[in-house]
Amino acid sequence: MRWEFTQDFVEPQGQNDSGKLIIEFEGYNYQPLPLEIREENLRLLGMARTGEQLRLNPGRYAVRMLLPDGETESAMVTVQADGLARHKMGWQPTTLLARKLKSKYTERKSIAPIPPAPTSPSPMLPEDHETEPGDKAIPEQAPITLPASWCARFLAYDIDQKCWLPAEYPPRLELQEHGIVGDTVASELLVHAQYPGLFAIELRGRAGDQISVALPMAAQSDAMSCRLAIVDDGENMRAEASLLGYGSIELVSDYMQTGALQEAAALMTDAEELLWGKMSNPIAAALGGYALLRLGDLERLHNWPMNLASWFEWLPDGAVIAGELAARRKDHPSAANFMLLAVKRGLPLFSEGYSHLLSRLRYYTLYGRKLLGQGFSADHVEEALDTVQQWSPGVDLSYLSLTLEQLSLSGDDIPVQGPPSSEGWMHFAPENPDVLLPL
Amino acid sequence: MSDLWRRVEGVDTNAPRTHALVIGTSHYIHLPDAPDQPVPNDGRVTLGLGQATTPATSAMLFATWLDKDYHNPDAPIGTIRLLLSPSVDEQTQVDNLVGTDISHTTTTNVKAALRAWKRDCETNRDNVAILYVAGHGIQLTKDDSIVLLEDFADPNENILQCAMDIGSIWRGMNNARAAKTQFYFVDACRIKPDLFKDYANNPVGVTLDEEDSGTITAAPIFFSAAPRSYALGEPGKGTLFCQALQDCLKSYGVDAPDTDNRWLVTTSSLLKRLPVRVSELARKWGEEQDAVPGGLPVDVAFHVLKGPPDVPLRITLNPATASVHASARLWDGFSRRTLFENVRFEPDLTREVPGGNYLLAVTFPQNQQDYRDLEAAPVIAFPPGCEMEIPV
Repeated sequence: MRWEFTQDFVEPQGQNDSGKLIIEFEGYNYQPLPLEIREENLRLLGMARTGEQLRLNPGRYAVRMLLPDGETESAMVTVQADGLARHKMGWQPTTLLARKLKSKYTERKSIAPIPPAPTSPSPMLPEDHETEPGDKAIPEQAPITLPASWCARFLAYDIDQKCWLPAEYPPRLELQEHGIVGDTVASELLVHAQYPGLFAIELRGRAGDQISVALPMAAQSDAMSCRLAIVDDGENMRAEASLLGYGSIELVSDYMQTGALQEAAALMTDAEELLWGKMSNPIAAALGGYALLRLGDLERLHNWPMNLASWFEWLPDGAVIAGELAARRKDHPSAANFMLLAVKRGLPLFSEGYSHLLSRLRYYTLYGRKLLGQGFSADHVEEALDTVQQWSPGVDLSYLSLTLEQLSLSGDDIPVQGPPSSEGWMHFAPENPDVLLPL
Repeated sequence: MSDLWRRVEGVDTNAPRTHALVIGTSHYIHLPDAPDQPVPNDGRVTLGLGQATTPATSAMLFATWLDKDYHNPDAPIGTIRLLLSPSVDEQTQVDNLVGTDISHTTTTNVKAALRAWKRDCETNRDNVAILYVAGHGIQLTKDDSIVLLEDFADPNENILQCAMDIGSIWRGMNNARAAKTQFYFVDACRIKPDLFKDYANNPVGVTLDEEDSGTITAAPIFFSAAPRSYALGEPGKGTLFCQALQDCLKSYGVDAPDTDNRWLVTTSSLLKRLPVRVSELARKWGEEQDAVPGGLPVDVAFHVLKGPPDVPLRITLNPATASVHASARLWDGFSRRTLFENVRFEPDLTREVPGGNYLLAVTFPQNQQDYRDLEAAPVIAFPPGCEMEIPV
């Protein structure tokens, strides 16, 4: 059931006295969002987009919109003959951080804003302190520091040594929002790439749990920054990276995070623009490519994955998408070559990519002889499978960005408790402009 | 066939039908009762596993739902094959887990049932295929997972001989004769990945010949792995994934009416709601659990409800102090049917109402001049719920 969007909902008998309707939505830089137009009895008439002028017979209509944060908004609107009705859909923007917290707390709780930088040593919160629902700001006169903080270090992929090493020129962190709810410390940051390369952040929570998150950004493209939300409740730490960018880029990222594949795919009308337009964002293009692959919409992918794979040599995901597309088109030798190319480039930035890559390598290990024919090197495929599969015990496929739990990309052993001992680790210091300070 | 639990007789055999294979393994012959108990020194590899406690219950609940409630006018139920290996406790908690029409989940039985199911599914391209598998399992990718069967850890077999390769089955069902619409639900008690990694590339016993012809329309896979193998929740209710799925099929995952005014559970609505529901239920038990969708999740209808689902409605007043004085009436604007009236806020008003478009009135006693009556506000009740704050 691929969506067909229209602006004309007028029944033939109502041609003469139709009215007009515009549903306005202010979020996401006024990007048009998919919208359902329904009769008053809720029967679906069809799909439209926000911001467009729709033609309808006079009457009352229900409109419903799936928001990128997974919530839905519905409203009743009245269209009058020869009139123009405008309706603004109410939306309270929720940050990625708020959503992460909401997924932990089923009850609504507020996130405290960033406390002001302390001018004197800050008192610690008593251990039994609990913030109640509805608590808003941390009073300015009582600035706090965290009871303890998480640690982090950046890793960069070394394509020559084929391994992840502590980043010599690490990305820069910028704190956007930070707060405490009960024992939970939550922060939203922007990560800015300073130098070309593939980067991941390793995080160690207060309880000693460790995760690695691939960062969907690259200084060698317009996707120079990404968003990172971190929630550490003292027992578990979770982190989620998402795309940052103009236009539909963040929308695609957010929709995919909430399982709204159709909505994400509906925004991929300008996929090729993402490759070589004014705002070239191959990472967003890759994400949209994964949505289309997952929906089996190969027609809309036509050949741009080949360009994504060839023009952005630093991006493993381009080769994965081209490989998966070739496999679906039964061109298995090309598919295998693209998958091997992806492995050479490092790990995909997205869990979708990791999943396709591992599945195809397993498949070709089992059936390569039959599917790939002469010239196929079983050893190469098996070697690539070993390289990729070593991470599978740690990969959490429920995240959009490739996320590993209790497994260090650098290959370092993870201590059971206490601070990390290997090089490059810093601790989170929200009051400091650099955000991270040496241990 | 002993595994054929239900076959709908007396119907046009040429018409499209839904064929389901439902497998639940709680009892494992070669595993100890608990993971930390010793096992015979005969070379068996147990991957640190003990008995599971809920998969057979979950499979039975899902099969019962298919039998009693599943509704797809385009492909009504044709056959349901049910294979169960229940634990001793489950047999006291749930009726009919053992019967002559239910085979155990041994490798031999599952292979036979799988092929019979595949044959049935291939009788008409407009058939619908449903596979539900519950037991110890592991997810390798969004498309590949492995689920262990009753005779897993047989010391005389290769390690994964007594296991199902879901990815292989999914690809094997993607052939030129296959049902074009398929649904896969994999409900696993998690195997620790680090214990499994050395065996990930070993051949798996229960597979299908892989054709992967790319001719099917939709074949989503919903995979979820419980953080522990014992039951979370009340006895007899199955795994959290099973509970979440039942919630979604009843109301939580129902989509708003389509162009034919039908309330449907679709691939798309399951993609959005099932993972959320699994997480919500897990958090109630202080656990983290996700459901990860994979396969080919093209949007198609899975289940057509026979009427509107019940939708939780929660209405609050602003200011909240108005609640003690207010009473509410909700009615259908078309039929004028009143759903409730003279209902007090305590301090919220919570009710379940059939999904639909309603009007709400809120009134105050004449001596309450601080608040104004609300004559008729639209209330659009879509699943998973409708929350409104009314200024008065």
